[in-house]
Amino acid sequence: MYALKAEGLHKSFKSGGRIIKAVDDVSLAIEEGEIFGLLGMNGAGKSTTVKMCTGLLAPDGGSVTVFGGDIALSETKRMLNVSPQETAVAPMLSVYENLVFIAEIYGADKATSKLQAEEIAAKLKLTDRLNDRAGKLSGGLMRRLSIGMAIITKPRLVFLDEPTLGLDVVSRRELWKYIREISGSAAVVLTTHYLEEAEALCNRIAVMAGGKIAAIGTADELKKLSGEDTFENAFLRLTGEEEYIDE
Amino acid sequence: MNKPSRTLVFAKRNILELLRSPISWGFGIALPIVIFVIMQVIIKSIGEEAAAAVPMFGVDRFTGGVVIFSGSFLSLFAAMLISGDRSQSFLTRLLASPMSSGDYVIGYMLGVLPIAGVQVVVTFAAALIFGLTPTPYIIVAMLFSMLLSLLFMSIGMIIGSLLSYKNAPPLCSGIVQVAALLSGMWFDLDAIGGGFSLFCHILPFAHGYDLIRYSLSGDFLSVWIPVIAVVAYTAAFTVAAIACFKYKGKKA
Repeated sequence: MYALKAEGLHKSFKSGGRIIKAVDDVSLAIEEGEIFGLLGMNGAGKSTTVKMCTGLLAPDGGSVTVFGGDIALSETKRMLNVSPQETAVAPMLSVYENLVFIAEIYGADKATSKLQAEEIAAKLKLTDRLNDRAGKLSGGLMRRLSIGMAIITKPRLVFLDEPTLGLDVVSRRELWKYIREISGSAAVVLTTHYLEEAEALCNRIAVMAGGKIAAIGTADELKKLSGEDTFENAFLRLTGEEEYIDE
Repeated sequence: MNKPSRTLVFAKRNILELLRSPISWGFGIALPIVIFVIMQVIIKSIGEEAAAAVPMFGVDRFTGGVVIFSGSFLSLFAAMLISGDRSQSFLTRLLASPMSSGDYVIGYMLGVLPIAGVQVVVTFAAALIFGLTPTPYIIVAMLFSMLLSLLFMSIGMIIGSLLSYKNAPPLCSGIVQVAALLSGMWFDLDAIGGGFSLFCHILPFAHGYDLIRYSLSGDFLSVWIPVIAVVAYTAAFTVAAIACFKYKGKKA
């Protein structure tokens, strides 16, 4: 069974009297335990695809199932979690309260949520900061908390939207380590603009352009498919931006 | 093991967010006291005899104005809470969770309710200190004040659902001004009469002011029209708030 199966997704929006096809016949099948990258230029349709795959947006056409269950069902939603692009923490709550809050929203009792919060804080090296207000954390710590809130519910499918945006190289590498750890127990869908990040972390990558999937494969397969030596050039060619390729 | 209700977990989070914000304490709790103090300073300045000739300066009528003016800030709190959750994608996280529409709407309202309760108690305690005659009618007026709190919360929920974190507060301060101006807090609408008074009574704020005024004076024959108007507006705004939240949620 696939962790995520999206078939024939379509979504259009009205803008300035025109109808814009944001997502046009997108199909994805993501395996359990895999880190799957979703890449594309701004406006390629990644965010709309992720919103449909997480049940935030109803598709105009097509279907999404998570471990075989309809994404609209509460029981299915329990199996997934997201870490949105913005840090998405409750700023006036402490680190501990943020973690416990999400655990309880997903149905954990008080004692379990307390234990889970302590366990996640230890894993993400946040134990010393448990009583700090989330809104006062540095960017790197806030991202760590955001990921902690996405994994405290022990999801089987996690969506990480630009998880390392704006972080320094050390913080980014540290988060890579955590993302690899998550994939031991859950499938991870990762959207990022950092191509080296996708190449380093993802088992498979889908490149989107113009609302469609331009190509899917491992980083090496995509390089081979595009006839380019570097992943960055392969990405540019697959998205139709050949003019920017370094010769 | 005892699993806490999602609605209550969410409400608790909202209560903590609001109680830890200095804005809530300043505008929600301290404001009624500040207004009463300012009123006393004005009365002292113009002389107690001159002030007695102006019905609006009577503590029984002024209390209704303070309820409306302070209560209107609840719309700001509700709007800031919801628009803040939307702008920081916190709502995206929650919308992807197993929470239902009912969990959100009730959770947000329950989140603002404790501040509203404390505000009502502080307002009437201050009114008693500044000369309001202690009668059993105060209890009724306090209950009606809580009804008005729901009205302002629902307005805030509409604004917070539709506008950004940047745009919601300016509109809410507009609501605060409009509510105070058109409630009859600063001038006697019956004395003005005509189209302006009619216009003010089409909106809920003047009815809210009358509701507190009539209940404090024990005039329960006159209270029904304001009660019906406030309940109808609160119900309509709450339904509109749910619709706006669902509409924006789908576009999250």
